[in-house]
Amino acid sequence: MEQPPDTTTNLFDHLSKELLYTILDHLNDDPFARKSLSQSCKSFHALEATHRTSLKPRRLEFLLPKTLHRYRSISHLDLTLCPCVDDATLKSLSLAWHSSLRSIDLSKSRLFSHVGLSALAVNCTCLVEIDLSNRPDLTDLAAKAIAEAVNLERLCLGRCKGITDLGIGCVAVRCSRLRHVGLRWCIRVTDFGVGLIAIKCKEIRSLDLSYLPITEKCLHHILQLEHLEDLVLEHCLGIEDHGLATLQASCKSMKMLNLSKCQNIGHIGIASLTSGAHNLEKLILSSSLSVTTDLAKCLQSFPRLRSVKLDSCLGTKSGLKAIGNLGASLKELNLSKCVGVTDENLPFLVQTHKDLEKLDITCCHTITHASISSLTNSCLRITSLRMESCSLVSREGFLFIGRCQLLEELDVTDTEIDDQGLQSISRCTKLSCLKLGICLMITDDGLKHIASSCSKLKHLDLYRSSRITDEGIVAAALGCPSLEVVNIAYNNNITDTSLESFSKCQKLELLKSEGALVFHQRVSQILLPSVSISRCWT
Amino acid sequence: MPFSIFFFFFFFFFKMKSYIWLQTVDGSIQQVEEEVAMFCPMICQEVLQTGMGSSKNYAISLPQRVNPAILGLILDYCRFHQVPGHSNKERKTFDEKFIRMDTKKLCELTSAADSLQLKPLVDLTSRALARIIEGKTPEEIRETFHLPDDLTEEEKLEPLRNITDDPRIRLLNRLYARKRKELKERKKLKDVEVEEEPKDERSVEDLLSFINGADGDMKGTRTNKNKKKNRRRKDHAKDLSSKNENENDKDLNPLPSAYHNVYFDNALEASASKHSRMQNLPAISFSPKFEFIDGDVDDDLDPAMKEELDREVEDFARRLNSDWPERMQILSLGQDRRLVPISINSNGSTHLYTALAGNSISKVSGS
Repeated sequence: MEQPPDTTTNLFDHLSKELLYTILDHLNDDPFARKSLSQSCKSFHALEATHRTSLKPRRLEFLLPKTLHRYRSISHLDLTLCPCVDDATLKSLSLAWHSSLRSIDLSKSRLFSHVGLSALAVNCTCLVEIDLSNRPDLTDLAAKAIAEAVNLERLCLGRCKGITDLGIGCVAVRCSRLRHVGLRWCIRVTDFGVGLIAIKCKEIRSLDLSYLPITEKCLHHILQLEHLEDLVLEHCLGIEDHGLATLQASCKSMKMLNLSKCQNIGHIGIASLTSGAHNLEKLILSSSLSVTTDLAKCLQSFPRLRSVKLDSCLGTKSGLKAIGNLGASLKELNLSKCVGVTDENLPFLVQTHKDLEKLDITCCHTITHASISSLTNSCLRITSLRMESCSLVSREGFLFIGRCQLLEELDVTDTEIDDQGLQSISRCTKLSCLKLGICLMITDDGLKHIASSCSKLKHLDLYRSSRITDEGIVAAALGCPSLEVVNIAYNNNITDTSLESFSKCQKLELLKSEGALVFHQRVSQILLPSVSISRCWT
Repeated sequence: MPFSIFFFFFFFFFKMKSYIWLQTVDGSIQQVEEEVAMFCPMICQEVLQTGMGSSKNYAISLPQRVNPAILGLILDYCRFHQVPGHSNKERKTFDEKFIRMDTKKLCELTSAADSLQLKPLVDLTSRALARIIEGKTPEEIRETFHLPDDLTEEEKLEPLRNITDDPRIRLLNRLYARKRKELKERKKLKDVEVEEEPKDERSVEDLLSFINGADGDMKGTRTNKNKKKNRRRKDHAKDLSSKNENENDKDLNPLPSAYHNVYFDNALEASASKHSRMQNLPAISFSPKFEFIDGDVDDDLDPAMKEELDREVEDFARRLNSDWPERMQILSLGQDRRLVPISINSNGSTHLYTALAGNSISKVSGS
């Protein structure tokens, strides 16, 4: 016998607190849902407060005593939307969350000083992560205050130009558990300060020393760190080959090395820096040196090398070909704006690196459909292909791309692709990012092919693709319900009809429509509140 | 599971089908295929640890939250999923049909599955409950789950409905978004202004170098000021060249006050013209040296944003191919500016050099 429905019983009475926490965790992607649930009844109001561990207030007023009182267990505090955080605020929140706060991001806050930092460091004894980037006015007093947070593991001081070796020394001496340190653009920190970090903080895993006036003197200590995995030395012009040649140390644990814009380092320096680094997986040499056979010989020493970035380098014919003879099988290769990439060496490269998953050949102006044919024949596992401004690739070159069934990201901005090319590409049903800006040969028919097959598309760029009209946009909106970012800027043929169709894309976050002929009033009625419309005018 | 026990069960299963006896809280007892019942970790533990469940008299007592109807559902779930060979798609389809039930039953099922430690089913049902909650207002959630309306007005925050339904708030959000973008563009303009400084500094150095080699102190000071203004005037477009000639005519017979006024106006005009041109050509590229200086001076811009802006400017320049000749022209003018001191003493073949020489001679005569 069926019982009559009991409308007075709270259905959640059946569920334990742990189960309710589980349900809240499933709602993490939807902030409105958590808020609605917390406002439905008193018990859920309390439940949401005790369960919440991270907070990202939109305005500083949200940190008033009421919020400090309501949320008792905040571990992660993101204040990047609150530029007016001052010393008093830091003191209040450090007292309120003194036993729970572990991570705080102050990279967009401007009004606090070393006084607030000192209160934070002294009161929050569990603090392990601080981001103080973008404060060129902070001095060594601030660094000394930070050093009182002796449990720190992650510290980011990017662009804190007022901090010198003295302040860094205070941090190094007291925060010996540091694992991740970012000193990018701390241009008054020299070999002395960096050396102290390397000597005192033996647990370092990643180190960012970009744009610092350091030389090989501190590298001697850095390379002796036993756990160092990531080393970034972008634009460190004081490091040169003849200095590196004298290095005796080697770092066996290194996995990523970034030497972008280090014009004074050649293959000799790279060999010294990476001697013994058999675990190296990622090497970034953007805008730094010529790709020669000598450089390729250096790279022979790394059997686990997976990713090489040579964008904006000058490639010699034999050097680029030699990259194809590496012992390791690359998964990621960036040759963007790399002079010297031609139909002679690129096919050889892709034939020897068959496991390639990501290839960037943006602005490789001399390659033709022959390279694309070779690529799509050899590298069937490719998931990301960027070939913006490859202007010599003819229409038939794009027909080959449809062979790569695992493709997720494709950038063919400013190319000769046409509707037949899009029809071929629509066979890549896993596409999630497609950039077709300034593609003057494509029309609505091509876009319909994409819409009918690539239902997982999230990012669609049609910037200045002037032959696209409402018809194509409507098809895309209907066929790709998961769209998140759409760019239809400067397309004169697009009207309100297109915008109406986007109202069906529930996950749409950003719609770029500069110069499009749309009307404000109708937009406000059609689109979701979270959509950001940039510079829309009639 | 130890291998010997596994072997034992395998042998036993091969011989004959066996059953586990389960008893729910209301006292009813039922017989369940062993492999189905053992799919529940809680039942499995009970059988292995206590040996219960082998007969009706030794039935396993289930937790209070498991009633006969819910037990039936759970056993259906176990029957399907304990069989090997189903594809992931088939399992997903079964799951989607399985959780189509009213909310009350879904809550009971979640609780029961949790007590039996049947984690996959708990995960499935808790996600289903989360999906029911998504998109609902607090009032709707109260109604769906029969929750008491016991929050005080003080505890209720701003009603969520306003955020989505009120067109005025929506308009305000759009205005905020536009304002943020304007501020961002203002930062870009600041970048452009900062980039002007290095050129001015170089100009001063050139002036000093030139003056030290040519004139005395008092005359040098006045000439310095004049030459700076001359340089700014040269930045005008070609259609302003006739205006320059007119200025030259006036300078031949200047009154002191008129003299100063004229140059002040020219300075303003030159400055405006330069600024306007800079806005039109945001993609001008500078040498690495300037890049470093720019990075050093620019204290207000987030470095991540700066890098993104640099990338966007670069892309923008590449996309506007038609602007390339104009940029080349500006770059060449920049180079000409460097050569100005040298060409003072020579007769330049181009109009630009001639005009410069004329101006210079005229100024010297005047002073």
